[in-house]
Amino acid sequence: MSAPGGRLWLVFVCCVVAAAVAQDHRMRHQHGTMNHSLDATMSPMHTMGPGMDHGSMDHSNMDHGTMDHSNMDHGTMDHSNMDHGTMDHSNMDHNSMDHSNMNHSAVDHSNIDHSNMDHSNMDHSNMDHGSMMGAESGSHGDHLGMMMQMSFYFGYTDVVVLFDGWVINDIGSLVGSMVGICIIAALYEGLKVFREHLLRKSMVTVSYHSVAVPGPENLPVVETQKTTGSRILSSAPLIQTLLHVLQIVVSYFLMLGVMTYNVWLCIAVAIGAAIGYFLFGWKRAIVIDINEHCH
Amino acid sequence: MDMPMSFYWSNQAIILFDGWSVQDATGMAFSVIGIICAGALFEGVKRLVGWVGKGKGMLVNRDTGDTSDPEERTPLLKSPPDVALTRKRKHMSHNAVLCRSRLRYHLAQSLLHVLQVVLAYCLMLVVMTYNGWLAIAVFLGAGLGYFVFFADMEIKA
Repeated sequence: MSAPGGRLWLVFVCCVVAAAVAQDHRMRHQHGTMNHSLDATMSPMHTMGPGMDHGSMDHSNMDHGTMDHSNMDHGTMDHSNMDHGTMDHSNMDHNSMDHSNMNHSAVDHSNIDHSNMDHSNMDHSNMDHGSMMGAESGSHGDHLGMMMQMSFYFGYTDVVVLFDGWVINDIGSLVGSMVGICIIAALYEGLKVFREHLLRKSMVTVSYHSVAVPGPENLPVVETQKTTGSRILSSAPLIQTLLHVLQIVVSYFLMLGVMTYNVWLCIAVAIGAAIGYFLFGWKRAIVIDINEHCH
Repeated sequence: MDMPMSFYWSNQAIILFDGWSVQDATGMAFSVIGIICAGALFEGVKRLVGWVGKGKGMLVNRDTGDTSDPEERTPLLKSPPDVALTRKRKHMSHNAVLCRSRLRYHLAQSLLHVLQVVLAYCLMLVVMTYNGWLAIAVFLGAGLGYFVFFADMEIKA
């Protein structure tokens, strides 16, 4: 068989096969207009006769590499009756799927029903809460100690006095706190007396001062009003103010000590006030007497 | 509501009323300023009570003939004793006038005393919030008020 003859034969076979395949496709998939543009001029020339026997055709060496399927129109294919019931998906490999760009923002969870969840078998026995450090861990941990006591009580456990660091937990710390509060209360009484003493002393020095200044003018009349300006500039009012603030602070602290409602601490405040008044009030009575004379 | 039982330093506090709830730094700053003013006002009211009381006492001194130097009298309280004095010279029913005048002083003093007690309790409750800033505000207010209103006390006392 010469080479041109063989080639012609091959083209003929191709045509026949293409026609058969086209017929087959038309039957199965109802392709509308197939156009396998092999060679448009050849197809009418090779109309097949009804008695041709194609049983011994050898198609093993056909080369379909140059077929052009670019203009195929599959628009009217009907897939409605396909049966996928026996597909086997058991060996699918999903390991390399990339879910990183998924967008779940529009997911609607509003109708989820949690009413039938069964939590009875959850095991919480191994949970470790030891390192939790909440800002209000103190109020979680010890409710009894942090609750405001609203009536008097005896006791010396978990009594917080003024500051977190001053906690009474045993008899020793209770006695120490009582002694300390006693001393503070006594000093408070002393401070009051000391302020009165300072006040009286400043009055005396003022009168001396006012005499000394107009000395060259030979005016015997003591007029305290004239020295007001110079006295305000002096440090006496400032000291009095500082002592006043100190007195206010101590008195408020004593008040807060009483407001712990701990009877022992209240007794300590009362005893301290009594001791202070006994020690310093001695002098105070005289001071009051002098003040009365000044009026 | 859990009440703190020791001093803490925070911008959050509820002061006196549910409505006066401080949540941030600016609110705390304004509250501190307000409380300083209230503390200073308290000292002023205290001084005013003493002042009015001295006027009342002066009337008593007039009545008993215990004369004191008119120059030492404060300008505010000068007129009522003088009125009483003139009435006394005219031999009018000066006792009734004196009584009425004293009553007026006593009424003013009582009202001021109520104001003083209310302010004192409010300041005490502010300290009892155990908020450190508010407590310091109360102390500063007391100092400021004392410095302003009692600076000349050494003379007038």
